[in-house]
Amino acid sequence: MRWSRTLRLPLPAVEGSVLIEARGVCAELGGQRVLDNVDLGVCAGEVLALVGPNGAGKSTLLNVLAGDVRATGGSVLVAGAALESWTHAELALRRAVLPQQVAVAFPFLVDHVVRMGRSPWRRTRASEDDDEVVGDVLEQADVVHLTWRQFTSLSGGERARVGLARVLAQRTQILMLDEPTASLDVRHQELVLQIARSRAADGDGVVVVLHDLGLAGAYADRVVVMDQGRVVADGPPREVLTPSLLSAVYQHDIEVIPHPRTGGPLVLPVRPSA
Amino acid sequence: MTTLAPLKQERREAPQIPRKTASAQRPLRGRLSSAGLLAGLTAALVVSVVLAAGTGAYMVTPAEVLGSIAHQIGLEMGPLPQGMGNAVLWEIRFPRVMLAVIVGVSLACAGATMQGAFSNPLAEPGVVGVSSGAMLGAVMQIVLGFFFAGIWTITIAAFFGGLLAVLAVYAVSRSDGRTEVVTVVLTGIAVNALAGAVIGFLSYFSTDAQLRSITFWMLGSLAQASWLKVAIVLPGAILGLALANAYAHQLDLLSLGERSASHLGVNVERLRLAMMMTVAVLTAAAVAVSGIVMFVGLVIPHLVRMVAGPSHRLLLPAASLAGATILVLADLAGRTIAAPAEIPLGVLTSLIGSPFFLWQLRRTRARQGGWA
Repeated sequence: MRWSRTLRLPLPAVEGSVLIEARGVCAELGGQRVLDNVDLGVCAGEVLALVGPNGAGKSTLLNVLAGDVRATGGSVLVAGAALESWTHAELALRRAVLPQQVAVAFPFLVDHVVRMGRSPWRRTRASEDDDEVVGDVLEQADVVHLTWRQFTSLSGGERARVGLARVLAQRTQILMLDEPTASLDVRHQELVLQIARSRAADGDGVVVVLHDLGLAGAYADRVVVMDQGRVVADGPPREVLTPSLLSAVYQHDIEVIPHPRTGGPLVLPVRPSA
Repeated sequence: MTTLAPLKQERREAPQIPRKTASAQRPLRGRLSSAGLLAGLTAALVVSVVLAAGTGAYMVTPAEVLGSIAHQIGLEMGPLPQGMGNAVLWEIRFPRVMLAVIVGVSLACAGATMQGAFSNPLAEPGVVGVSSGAMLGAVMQIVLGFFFAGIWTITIAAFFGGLLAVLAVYAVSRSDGRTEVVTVVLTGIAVNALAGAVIGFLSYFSTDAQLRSITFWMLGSLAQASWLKVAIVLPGAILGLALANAYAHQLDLLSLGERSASHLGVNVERLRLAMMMTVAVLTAAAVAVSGIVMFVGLVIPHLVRMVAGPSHRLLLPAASLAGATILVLADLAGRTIAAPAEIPLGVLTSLIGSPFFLWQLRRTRARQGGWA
C-alpha cells in the first residue's frame, strides 16, 4: 500500500490560505455530544488560540482536526481535500500534533526522540536536512543541553520541551499544540508562544489550545472561544477577550484591563479583596 | 505529483532568549557502536556453537568441529574428528545446536517485538500466554491428529494457537493506546490457565505415546532434535525475523504512543496486526520444536536494551544473536550439568528467568508509583 502510489508531497502554502478546516463538525464521546456544528479554519501565517473552560471541547476539536477522533457529522479538510483522502504518511507531512502528555515507553535518547519527528520525510529529498533541522529545533526548544540524556530521566517540563522539539522537527505547515505551556515555567511558556509566532511568520498555521488567557491575548492573531461544544466567539484578541463574554463562558467574574504600556488585554479573574 | 524541495530551508531566527551554555557533546563512553556490538555478539554465538557441538558424552575438540564443517562444505581443511565423531556431530549435535539457535533467535526476537508493540517492557510470549496458545495448537494437532500441510502442520497449528492468544491478550489489556503492565500480566494468567485446562482435557484422552510428547512440551526441551525439526521451524523463524526487522523503525515510533506514532505517519492498525502475526510466527517456530521455554523473550531484550539502547533497528538483531547464544549455552548446561540425565531447557530458563521477572516487576511498579 505504501508503494502502490506515490507520496503526495505538500505544496508551498499561499499566505492567508486555509490550511485545515472543520466544517459543521459534530463529535460524540461516550454518547455525549462534545462538538456541536463547529466551523473553524486555520490560515497560513496565523496563530490561532483555542480557549474555553474545561470540557468545552477544545482538545476534542484538535483531535478531530488531527484525525484521531472521527467526526460524527460534518467534514474536515486538509489542504483543500477531505481528511480521509490522505494517507497516514501524507497527513504526517502536513500537520504535526503536540499531545497534552508527552510520553516515551523506552529510554530513548532525546536526540533519537527528536529525530523521530523527521521520519515522515524519510525517502524524500527533505531528509537531507535532518541534521540541520534537528539542531535547529533542539536550540529553539532550549533542550540542546539535554540532547544525549535519556528521555525517561527528564523532568515534566523538560519532557514537554523535548516533545515540542520533536513536533517542530516535523516541519509541517500545520502545527497543533494541545496545552503546550501546561508544565512549563514562565520563561519557557513565553518561549513556546514565541516559537509559535515565528512559525506563523514563516507562513505556517498554528493552532494552540491554551488555558492562560493572558498568553492567548499576547501572542494569538485570532482567539476562538469554545463553550459546551460550540464556538461562541472568533476574532482578534481585543475583540474577543471581553469581560462580559469571558465572565459568562467561565462562570466567574473576569475583568480585562489594557496593559499600561502596550495596551494589550490583561485578563484577570475578579478576586475578593483582602 | 512532482517531488518538491523541502518547504523551508532557511535557518529560522530563534527567539531571543538567554540560553544555557551546557555542552551537547555526545558522550563517548556508555554506548558501543552498533557494528561493534553485532560483531561481538556474532563472535560469541560462533564460539558457543562450536563449544556446544563439541561437548557431551563423546568429546570433539573445537578444531575438529570446525574441520568437520569445512570438510562437509568441500574444503579440505582442519582435522576430522576420530571414530564416530563425525557421525555424532552431524546426526546429534549439529541439529540440536541449530535448533537451540533457531529457538533462541525466535524467542528473543518475539519478546523484543512484543515489548515494542505493547510499549511494555514486561510483555513476553511465555508470560502473557502466547506460548501456551501455541502449545495448545500443537497439542490439538497431536491428539486430534489432523494433517493439512505435511510436516509443517504442527507449526501452523501452533501459529494459529499463538495468534489467537496474542490477539486476545492485546484486545483485553489495551487501554488508551498503551497496555498496562498489570493487565498484561493478569491476562497472561487467564490465557495460561485456559490453555492449561484444555491441554489437560486433551491429554486425558490421549494415548501413551501422545502423552509422552505432550509432557515433553510442557517442560520445554531440545532433546528430540533432528534435521527434520530444523526444516520444520526454519522457514517460520526466518519469516518472523524478516517481518520484525522490516518494521523496526515503526516500532520505535510506536513508543511515543499510538496517537503520536500515527501523527508521524504510522498506520497503527496495520502495524499492530503485522506485529501480532510476527510474534505468533516466531513463537510458533520456537514452541513447535522445544515446547514452552519461558523468560528468554523477557530477559534477553532487557539486557540488550541496557547496552544497545532501545532503538529496535539495533535491538532486534542484537537480541536475536544474544538469544541464540544464551539458548545454545543453556542447552549445553542442561545436558552436561547432571549428565547422563538432562535438565529440560524450559526448567533451566525459568529457574534463572523468574527471579529476574520478579525484580523487573518490582522495578516497574516502583517507577509507576504502585498499581492499585
